[in-house]
Amino acid sequence: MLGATINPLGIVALLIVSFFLNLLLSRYVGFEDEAATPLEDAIEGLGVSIILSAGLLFLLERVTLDMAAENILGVVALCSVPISLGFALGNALAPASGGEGADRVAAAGGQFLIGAGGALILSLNIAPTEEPILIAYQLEVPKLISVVILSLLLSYLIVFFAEFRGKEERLETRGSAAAAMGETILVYLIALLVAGLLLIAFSQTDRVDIAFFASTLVLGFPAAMGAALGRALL
Amino acid sequence: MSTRERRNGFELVVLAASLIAIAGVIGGLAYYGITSGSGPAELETSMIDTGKRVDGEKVYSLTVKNKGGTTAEDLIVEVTAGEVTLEVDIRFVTKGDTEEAFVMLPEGIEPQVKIVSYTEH
Repeated sequence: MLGATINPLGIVALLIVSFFLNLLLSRYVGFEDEAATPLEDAIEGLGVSIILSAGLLFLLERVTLDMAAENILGVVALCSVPISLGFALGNALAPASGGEGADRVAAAGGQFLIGAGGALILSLNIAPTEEPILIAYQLEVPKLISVVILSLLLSYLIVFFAEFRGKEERLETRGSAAAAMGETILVYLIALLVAGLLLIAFSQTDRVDIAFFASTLVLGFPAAMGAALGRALL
Repeated sequence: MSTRERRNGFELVVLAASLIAIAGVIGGLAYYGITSGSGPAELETSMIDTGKRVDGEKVYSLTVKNKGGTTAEDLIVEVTAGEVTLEVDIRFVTKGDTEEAFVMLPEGIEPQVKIVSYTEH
């Protein structure tokens, strides 16, 4: 809730700095999209981050409509800054022809291994905190179902639609959209397994019940993003 | 001559939505930054009977609204009904917002609310 407690003009300054960082990253690293200028890339990077942040914060009930508009804007803006930089940096980290040994892991279920690794990296620091349990406790079933749908949708978009290098190869390898979606669901299940095991490993539950399942779905969101990013970047 | 490809309809929609999102957030924050107050926290409390009963006690909704220009943190609110005194801890109430807590008190006595302490962020 830091965005609700600091001066709005300070957040505006941070957004402007973030925009110029995006612009520089787009100029010198750039996405593959030949139809866009670095300026357009930077606008899309920050704009989509704001929209995504707002959607997630409302979905997870971190912001609600009964909050003051000033506070909603502050929280959404602060949340969007690291996301927008992540968009640009992600592409910088992705080697042009995939990571070293990427052609070997692409076969024989290597994608699932990469997915599990990515899920572990992103959810490892979140699992020991009380946030997954707290958020799961506060969310109604329809919101939890929305988290699952969003996890699957974003995973699919990151791997097969985001303009990371190698997107065409990934699409060609899968052959059809149904196969790509099938793989996305399987990797999501692996991410959920990783999330559930981490919650057990960090003693966040003493029994397997509905609350544990709900916490796993919540932690499964960052785990799914990690799995998708791992697959996209390698 | 530029060899740049033309954007398709979806990409144009994403670009337009992004522009609107950035303009909306920066414009809104700039507006609130310039116009909103910067004075101290002004806290207003209220107790509303929710109409629910638990173990023979009334359940009240305690709200704390911050009408000032600064966030109030680590609030300790004291609720008294006759011989019963409860202490409610509220982590923070940001400027312009309202926080709610629920307390159970004996029936038939009008509760009194007092903010004991808080810090300003």
